[in-house]
Amino acid sequence: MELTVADLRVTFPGAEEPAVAGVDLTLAGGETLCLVGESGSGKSVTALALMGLLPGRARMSAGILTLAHGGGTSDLADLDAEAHRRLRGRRMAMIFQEPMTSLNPVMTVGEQVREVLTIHQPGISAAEGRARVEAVFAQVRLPEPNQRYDEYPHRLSGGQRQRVMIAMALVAEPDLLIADEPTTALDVTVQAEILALLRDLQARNGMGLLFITHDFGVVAAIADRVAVMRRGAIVESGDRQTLLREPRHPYSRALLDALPERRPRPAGPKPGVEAALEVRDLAVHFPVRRGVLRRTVGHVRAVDGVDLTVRRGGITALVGESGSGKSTVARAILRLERPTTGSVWWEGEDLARLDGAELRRRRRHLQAVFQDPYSALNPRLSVATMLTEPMAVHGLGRDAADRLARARRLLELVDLPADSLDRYAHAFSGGQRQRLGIARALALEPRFLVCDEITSALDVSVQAGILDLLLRLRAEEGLSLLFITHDLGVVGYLADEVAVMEAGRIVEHGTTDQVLRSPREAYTQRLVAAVPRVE
Amino acid sequence: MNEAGPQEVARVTPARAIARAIFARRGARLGLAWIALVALLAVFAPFLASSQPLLVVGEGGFASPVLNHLAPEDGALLGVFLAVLVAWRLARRPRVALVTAAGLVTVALIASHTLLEPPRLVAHEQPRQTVAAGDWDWVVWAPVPWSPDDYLRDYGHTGLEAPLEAAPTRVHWLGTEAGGSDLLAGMIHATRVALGIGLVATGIALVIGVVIGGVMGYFSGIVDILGMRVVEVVEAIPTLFLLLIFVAFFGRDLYLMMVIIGLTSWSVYARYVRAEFLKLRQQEYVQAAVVAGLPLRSILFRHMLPNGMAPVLVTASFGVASAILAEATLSFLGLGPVDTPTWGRMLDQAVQSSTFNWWMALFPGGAIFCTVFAYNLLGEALRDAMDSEAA
Amino acid sequence: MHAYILRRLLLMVPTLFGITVVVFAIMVAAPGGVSPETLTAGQNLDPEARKALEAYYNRRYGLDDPAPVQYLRWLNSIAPVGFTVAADGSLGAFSWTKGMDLGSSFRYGRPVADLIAERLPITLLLNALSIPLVYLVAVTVGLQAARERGSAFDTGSGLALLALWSVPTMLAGVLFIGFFASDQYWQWFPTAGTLSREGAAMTFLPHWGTALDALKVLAGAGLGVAAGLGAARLSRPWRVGIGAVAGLLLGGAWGAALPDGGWTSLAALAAALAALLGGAASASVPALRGVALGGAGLLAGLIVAAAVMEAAFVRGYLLDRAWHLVLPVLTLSYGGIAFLAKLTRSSVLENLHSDYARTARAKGLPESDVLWRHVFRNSLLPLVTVAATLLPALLSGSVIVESIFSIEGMGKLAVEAVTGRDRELVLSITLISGLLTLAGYLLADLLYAVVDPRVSYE
Repeated sequence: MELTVADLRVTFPGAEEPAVAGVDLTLAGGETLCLVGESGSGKSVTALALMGLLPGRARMSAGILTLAHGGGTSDLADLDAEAHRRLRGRRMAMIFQEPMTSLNPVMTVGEQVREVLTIHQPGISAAEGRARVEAVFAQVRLPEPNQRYDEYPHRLSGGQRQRVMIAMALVAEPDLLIADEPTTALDVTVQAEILALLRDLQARNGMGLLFITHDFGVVAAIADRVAVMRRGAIVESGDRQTLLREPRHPYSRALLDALPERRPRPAGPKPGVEAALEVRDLAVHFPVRRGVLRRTVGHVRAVDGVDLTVRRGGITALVGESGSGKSTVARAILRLERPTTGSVWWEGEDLARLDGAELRRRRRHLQAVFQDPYSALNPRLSVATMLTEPMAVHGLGRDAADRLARARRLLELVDLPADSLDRYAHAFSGGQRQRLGIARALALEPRFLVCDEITSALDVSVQAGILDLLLRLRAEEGLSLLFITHDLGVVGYLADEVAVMEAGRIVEHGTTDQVLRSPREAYTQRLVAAVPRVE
Repeated sequence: MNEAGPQEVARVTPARAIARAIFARRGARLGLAWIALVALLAVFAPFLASSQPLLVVGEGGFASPVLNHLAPEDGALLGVFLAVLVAWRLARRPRVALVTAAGLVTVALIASHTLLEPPRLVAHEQPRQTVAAGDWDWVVWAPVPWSPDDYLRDYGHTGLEAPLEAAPTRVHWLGTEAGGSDLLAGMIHATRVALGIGLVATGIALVIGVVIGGVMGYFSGIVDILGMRVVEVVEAIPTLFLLLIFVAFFGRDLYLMMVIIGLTSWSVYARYVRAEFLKLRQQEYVQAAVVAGLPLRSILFRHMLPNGMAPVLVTASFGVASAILAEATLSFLGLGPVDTPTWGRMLDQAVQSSTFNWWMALFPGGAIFCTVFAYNLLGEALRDAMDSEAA
Repeated sequence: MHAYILRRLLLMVPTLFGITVVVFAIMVAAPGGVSPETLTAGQNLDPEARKALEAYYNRRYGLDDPAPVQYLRWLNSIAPVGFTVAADGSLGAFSWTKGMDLGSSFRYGRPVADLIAERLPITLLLNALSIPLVYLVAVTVGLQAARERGSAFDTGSGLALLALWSVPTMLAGVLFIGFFASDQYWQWFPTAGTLSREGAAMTFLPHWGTALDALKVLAGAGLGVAAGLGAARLSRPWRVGIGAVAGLLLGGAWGAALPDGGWTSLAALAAALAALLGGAASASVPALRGVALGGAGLLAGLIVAAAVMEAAFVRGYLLDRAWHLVLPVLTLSYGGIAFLAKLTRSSVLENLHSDYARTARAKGLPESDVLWRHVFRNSLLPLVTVAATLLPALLSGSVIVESIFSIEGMGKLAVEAVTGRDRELVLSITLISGLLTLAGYLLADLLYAVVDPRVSYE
């Protein structure tokens, strides 16, 4: 099989710039090409163009766009819709990013996979088709394949659904597989398994794999060749070793340099010895109600006995996979949830016991920044109101003018222009919104900041700026930080101490060097080993 | 990467952006145009359709009989109209606009009730007889020279007449009703009932629904469970039936009816607000507001409510349409407000003694249809605008 | 699942309780309330007789008791288990097998249960006919609009549906009667009632004079439908052309049937019908064009057959009933059609652009399979939830429709009960309609659990 692309262009009506502006690619059978870029670079549109899945209003043109496959050679640019459809699923297949929504919720997964056979190989009987599907399920390492066949997607985990998607893509034995960020939404341990699976399957089938990602660690794990995309064009391509070690184009160099694991830890003040925040034996249980009278039959133990300490002026990272309970710990500390048992000690008081006006007074000192930049800001408030309202409530600033002056200073602190004050949230990009969120959190001059996955939704280069901002704030304003994340690279760059959570409990904690270099517990070791590294 | 700076469009407030999106749609413009027309007819009804001339010139000089017959409601409505105009011009400074408007309305109310005293018994034939007797030199009639309760006694028992049937002695552009009164005059005055019921009833329903729904959505727990039971009880009775019961037992006063229609239709707003509030509680800016220790009042009214009103406003537009339909249905069934002309009552006369009086169906029916259609168009445009703004 | 059903059934009780309390409170709180004076008001009696009648009402219905007591008495009588009540109104012993007694209507003097048993079936029939009609039409139109988003059909039908939704039910009913049931225009349908006077005496099925006539009708109908369906399978230009021609002919025949119509009305009707049939024939949803062209063929076939029939044709009970119900059902349904069609359209659009639809296309499924095997079932989910609210709306609509068309159903009974301040009747009707509504909600929720495997009521 051979995929040849030369000067591929895709434009959408109404957009100033083309989505894809002259892309050249080649891919041979048995080879993996990673297409890397940040959001908006056009990598997904390229994939959709190859598959013939562009929305009707898109305009595509190409110098060369051919796929040499098992049944001959097809000129993808020149095909009519029906011919292109016949290739899809049979000679070229695609898997997508969101496993949660990519499967039809009202059809069993087995039937959805067998449908590929029904279309492309209609001669196969139902029983035979089912056998083939179960065989593929076994290949993608789904446990108990024949039982999985009759299940509905909502009963499977994210990793299992992605395996179903891979099975769906492979069951007709295509020559080309396009994977659009298939592991981005998955936990890091699951990601490692899926990447290993893809490598094995490719080795067995000899198919070409076009893998789209924004994560250089993934690139290092599976790519043979790499192409870096920016603004619809490929700025650099080459084999993996060369590109990762000595990138030639300034953009590729900037991207690689922005990776937290590639940057040296900046020198900063060492954290003090005494604890700013101390969590003791925290537990948050949610009741499960069943039956006619809705009796409580059990509890979901989101947080099940957690001890945590953040030193004054220090940054403690709380790591864990999805469902580990780390966000619930943050919410309990901030009193967005009521702790079932345990205590949260801040400056000699147990926050878990306070209520009403007392609690409100203490809230000033513990603020938070959240994950999703697009729901973090009230769309109806101007930036000025957003920043000055909390000040007014807590009595900071003598009058309105003074508060505005403070707001201006805050904007300066987070590197935003002062005229942002009378603008509204929709005018700002994701990274800028996170900066605004940080500014809002700092408006009350807190001493403690909880950051819940604040860079997970941002591009790598933007993330670097935010992390540096946090370090500067820690140094200048003397903040203590609890940084929640699932990204161990960021932990290595930012944190002094780390605590690892699994299933509501802390399984290991210590200094960053200790935990990341020589983890003691099996879970931590698995976690650390699963992170794909660029080196 | 591309971190473009804030664009110039950033200075536009979200409210203005939505308003602009709404006006860009043809459906909204059509709907608003019709509603504005109906509103104008309602405000200026006594001047547009009256048996009293607008201006007469006789031996005593100038006189305006129509002004002598103005009722307090007429004056109050004119005051409201003026207040709305003033508020429109002062839209840039909402506080000043609000205060001025409120002041104007209060003055208008007081002035109307003290100064305007129309005579109790009116003989509509009188001006016509005066003209016939030649006592006036010059008469300016209203565009429709009939009052809605002018039963044309001086012409005998006229009854139902098709449009222009009695021309050229009497010109009735849209025909006459069963009692003999002019249909066009009745329809013009009926605009007040239609708009009034639509806006007041929906306003009441909105307030009740938003309060209850907001409380349920924010507090959850036992409040939510009890609230849902109440909502279910209100919803389980077919609305029309509940309306019928209320009206049949409590009487057919117009203002009472507005309140009753409002009381029977709040449940849909409560459901929407509750759903929105449940969603909003999970939004990060609301959580940030809680973490910042902002008072409950601010969280509810500044952070949650403005962001949750979108579907409610859409529903309110459809709600006004259904309130107008509800009144029309009641009138049609014979339970409408007494002594006030309404479109529904006129529609009821379309099929009587198995002759099809087409003008009684077409014009009032058409008026109801156009008004309801206008509000529905507006609601659709609102929904489209809010969806595209949110995307 | 059983626990869930049990819980819902149990929860119905307090809700029904709540509704009846509310309605009772309104009646009692009103000026005049429910008192013997209002009941004897309309009658022409001398003072002695009036007093005796009032005393009788007081004793029989307990009208001089305080309100809560009255409510409890009523509750006692409708409960199958409770205290027996003697004829003069005094309480007897507690009984487990008392049976439900809905009371007697003041106005009619008959047991409420009898009245309801008489009137309920016809209302249920009207609604039972409306619901499938509404869903069938709405889903086909909505599906078509979604598939050809942005096309003339889509924008046109969107506007038409919104306009249809805005037409008040009474106006529609009045227009239907005025145009199709009066002697000034086409008198094809009856104005009132559900059965003509001769209908009760007719045989159940229609009856032709000779066997040949029956064959003619069958042949006409069969050939017409076959021709229509065949035309629906032709390529687009052909079927649009055939549809337009058929529309012209049918429209012309329609215009010719006007008693005092001129050429303008004939031309207008012909043009309108041609446009309608041509448009429907161009639809890409095969169901829509099949129904439209098949229906037109059926109509044409029947008209031809009727023209060549020799002997008389006896309608028969069944057809007579159906003939009377056409206009009322149409009046009741059109609002629901408009609403559901728009809902279908937005639901289908949302699903057509969903991630799983993209996966289906990536598998190489043809677009029609994507629609019918994946998108369709997911799009129906919101329609099922909405079905719950459709029932109370239809019950309300029945009130107007029954009044316009003089149909003796529950809706008309409700209006009479309320205007006559007939306490027992009002309470019973409230109970029944509340029960029907809540049962509708429960059915809709259960149906949803059947259709959507993600939902389980544990």
